[in-house]
Amino acid sequence: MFWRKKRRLEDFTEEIESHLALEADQVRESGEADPDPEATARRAFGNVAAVREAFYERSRWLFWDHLRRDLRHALRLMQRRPGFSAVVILTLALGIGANTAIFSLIDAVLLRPLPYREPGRLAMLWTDDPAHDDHEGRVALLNFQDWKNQSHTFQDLTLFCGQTFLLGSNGAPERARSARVPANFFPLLGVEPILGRVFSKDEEKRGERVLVLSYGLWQRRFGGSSQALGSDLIMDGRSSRIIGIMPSQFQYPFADTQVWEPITTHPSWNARDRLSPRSFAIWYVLGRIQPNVTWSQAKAEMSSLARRLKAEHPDNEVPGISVVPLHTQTTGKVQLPLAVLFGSVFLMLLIACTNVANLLLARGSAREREFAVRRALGAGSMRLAGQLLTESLVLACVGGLLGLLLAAVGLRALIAFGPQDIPRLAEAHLDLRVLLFTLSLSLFAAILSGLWPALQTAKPFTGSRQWRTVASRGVRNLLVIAEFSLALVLLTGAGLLVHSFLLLRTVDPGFRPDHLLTMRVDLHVGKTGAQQVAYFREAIERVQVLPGIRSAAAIGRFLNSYGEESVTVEGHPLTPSGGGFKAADDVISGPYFETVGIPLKMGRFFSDRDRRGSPPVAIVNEKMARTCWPNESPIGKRFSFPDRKSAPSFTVVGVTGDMHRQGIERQVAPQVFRPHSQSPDNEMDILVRTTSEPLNIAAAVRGEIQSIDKTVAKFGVAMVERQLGEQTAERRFHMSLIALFSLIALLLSAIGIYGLMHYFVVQRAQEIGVRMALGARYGNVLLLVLRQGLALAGIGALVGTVGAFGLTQMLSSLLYGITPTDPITFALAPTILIGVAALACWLPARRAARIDPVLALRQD
Amino acid sequence: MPSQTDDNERLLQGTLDLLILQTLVLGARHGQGIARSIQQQSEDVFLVDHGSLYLALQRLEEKGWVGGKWGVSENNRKARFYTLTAKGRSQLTQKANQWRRVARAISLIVGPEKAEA
Repeated sequence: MFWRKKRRLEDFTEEIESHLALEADQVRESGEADPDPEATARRAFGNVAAVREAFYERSRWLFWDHLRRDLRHALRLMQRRPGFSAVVILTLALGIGANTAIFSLIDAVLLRPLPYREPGRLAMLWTDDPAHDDHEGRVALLNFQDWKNQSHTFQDLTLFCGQTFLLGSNGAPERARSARVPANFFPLLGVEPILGRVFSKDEEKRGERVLVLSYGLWQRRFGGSSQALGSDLIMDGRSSRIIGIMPSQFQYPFADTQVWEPITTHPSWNARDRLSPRSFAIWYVLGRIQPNVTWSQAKAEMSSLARRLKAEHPDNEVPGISVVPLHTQTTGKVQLPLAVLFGSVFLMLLIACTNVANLLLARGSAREREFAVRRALGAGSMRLAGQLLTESLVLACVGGLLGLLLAAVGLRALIAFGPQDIPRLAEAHLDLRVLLFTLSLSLFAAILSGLWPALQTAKPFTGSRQWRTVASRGVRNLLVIAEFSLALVLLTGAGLLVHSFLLLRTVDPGFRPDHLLTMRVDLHVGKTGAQQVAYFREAIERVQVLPGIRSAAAIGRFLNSYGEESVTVEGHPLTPSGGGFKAADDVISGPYFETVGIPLKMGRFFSDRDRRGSPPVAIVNEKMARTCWPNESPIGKRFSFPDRKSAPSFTVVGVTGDMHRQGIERQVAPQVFRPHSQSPDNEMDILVRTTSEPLNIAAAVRGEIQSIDKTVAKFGVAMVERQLGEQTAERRFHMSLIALFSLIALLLSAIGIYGLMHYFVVQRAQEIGVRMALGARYGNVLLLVLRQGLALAGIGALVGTVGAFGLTQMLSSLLYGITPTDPITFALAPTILIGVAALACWLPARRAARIDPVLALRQD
Repeated sequence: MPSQTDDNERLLQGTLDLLILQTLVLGARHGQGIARSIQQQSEDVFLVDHGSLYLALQRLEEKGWVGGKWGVSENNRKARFYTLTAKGRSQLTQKANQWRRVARAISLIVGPEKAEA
């Protein structure tokens, strides 16, 4: 009962003393002649010290008392052996810190719920087209309406699409993105504005020009003033009234959403969207399922709905509907890489703990004398083990604190250098959850690294000292083997990722990305086709003559073209296998192929004669030529896009080389290029090939284009080489981290085996001395030690390889160009590991070989 | 064999507790007085181990069966006096009854004292 005031030992002692005095009085009174009544009294009492001790032990919570003393002792020891403590603490700090950093990243990206009401019931709905391996196609308006009206598992469905617009009217307009949404968008997500209101169903129906502003734009344009409500915002020259402001953390659906407007207010609503056919799929669909409905029920209902719709509308392009929970949608692609990252960083912690366990074991055998004394003074095995465990607890906690510091620094670096496309990465921070994680990790590390050494060291003598040394060495050998096998698993995983990355870098993109600048230019809505053609032609001509520029051209969208469209080839029956044939379609202006560096394989490029009114022409890539016209020349052949109204037939005039536009990792898609002059558009990427450092020229290009028309807004100038790099940024991010972890693991294992072999040499100095006295050479001794160390590393590598075979399967979807059992990696990883082990064993081996036999034999 | 000693101790402790409580029925006493009283009343059969007595007193005090207070003995020495609490009194009744039952049962089995045949 620790809450009651304890009686102090002094009080108890006093009582015993009073007893002795009373007893002595009694002896005196009894009349017997006793020369020393006090001694008689004490004799009658028995062992005073034992009673006091018994009182002491029962009078308090011994556990805490021991803990307090052990803590004090551990802290003293830590100060006395700063070198040893520093190594242990740093090792643990590295492991705990890395784990903490990765955990807080995973916590922010995967674990924390999305900031909407009951986010677990939200899902995206897509057009599912298995024939084209496209499971996340956008949705046509008519289809959406059918889904919304006929689904019972979904409480409500909403839709949205993104639209870029020019913000402001005078001088330099700014490009911004709006989300066109119906009135039920906000209640479906369960979000509310911090100021004002969102638009109503009536306002949506009437197509009223109202909008809701993002927090960021509100701060930027209106300085966060409530005056913003009711004022007007000029979008593409039309003004709309601001009626609400969303909270700062609400950005859905796009990372750069600045404005939410009713879908009905955009000019394209009446011109195109409202009347578009079922093949015109530009909408994203978001739904909330009914409570008590499972995802599999919702999926089942939607697929039967899709079958019904297909039967009702034979022209319907929707073979299926896929339902993807919103959490999966936002984090699905990063789940596996993050899990792999966490796995590898945890492996690293295990290695760190193994290393520390090894150090503690070595330390334990060095402290044998201390423990012998303690045992002689009455300490039991459990008591000794408790003390040792407390020591490792202290080390782990200090390591954990330092690790927290490392994690804070590391996390900042991760966010700064991490790729932009990992959702919610920037939100990662150290909070209470992370602190709890770190604390439990430290306890885990303390027990993992300290328990075995504690029990081992505290074990009472059961045999000779020699036996004990041998037994402890057996355990330490096992630890080193474990360490090496863990390190090999990590190294193999990292090797596979690095190999994939290297292979990816050797992929020929099909063009020359160096010295290439791009700049997105968007003309105001409302220019005629002829004006658009003239504008881009002038822009290209003016940029081309700037100093330092070799050539310039323009294309609808350079990297990542829009979705692909169905193509009908004249004179060929439809498609080889199911689903229609699809190709990407882009318009170009100027000497595009020469500028980008794509070779012409057949036919001709476009010329000035390919203009409005002349026969529609097209250039296709080799992939399309091979697919549509195998074994014949495509030149002069004709094809059309059946989904387009008033679709003319295009005549193929040229074939060019393939180019990876949809991303280096994706397959090249069939591609159609058409002249901008025959199908004008208001938005293009201007491409510029420079003769010198492109960044120096960027400003001149921007100025030149700006001078043509002040009302045109541009995206910033970007270097294509850098844009290509961003495509692989996420891969590089994960790869670099895992490579870093495996390097640390390698280093730790090297330290581990070094420590063990060093100990081995010190322990066996005498034996080695005898060997040398009996004629062993320098080389023999060197080999003796090296063989011992390499045997351990070899066994570890073997076990690790077996483990890696099992574990790398998980990586398969992250690899490029190799299988999870890539022989090169599987050969290289153990080689590196054993090489490092040999280096680490070399130092103790040399020390052994230099032992002076005379000195060694004189010991003891 | 820890379990066996535990059993013995528990038995002895129980007895000692009962004796202490019984001694305190007549009024407050200090530890030495209790020891002497037990020895005298048992006609020198029970030689109380003084160390165990004080530990037992401490235990009883923690349980709240007796209360301890420093005072002055009849021959003017400082001593810690123990008194029976209400809780201790009811415990005594219970334990004494229990003891009598056990003693009666044992004496029934062992039988009355007989002359050696």
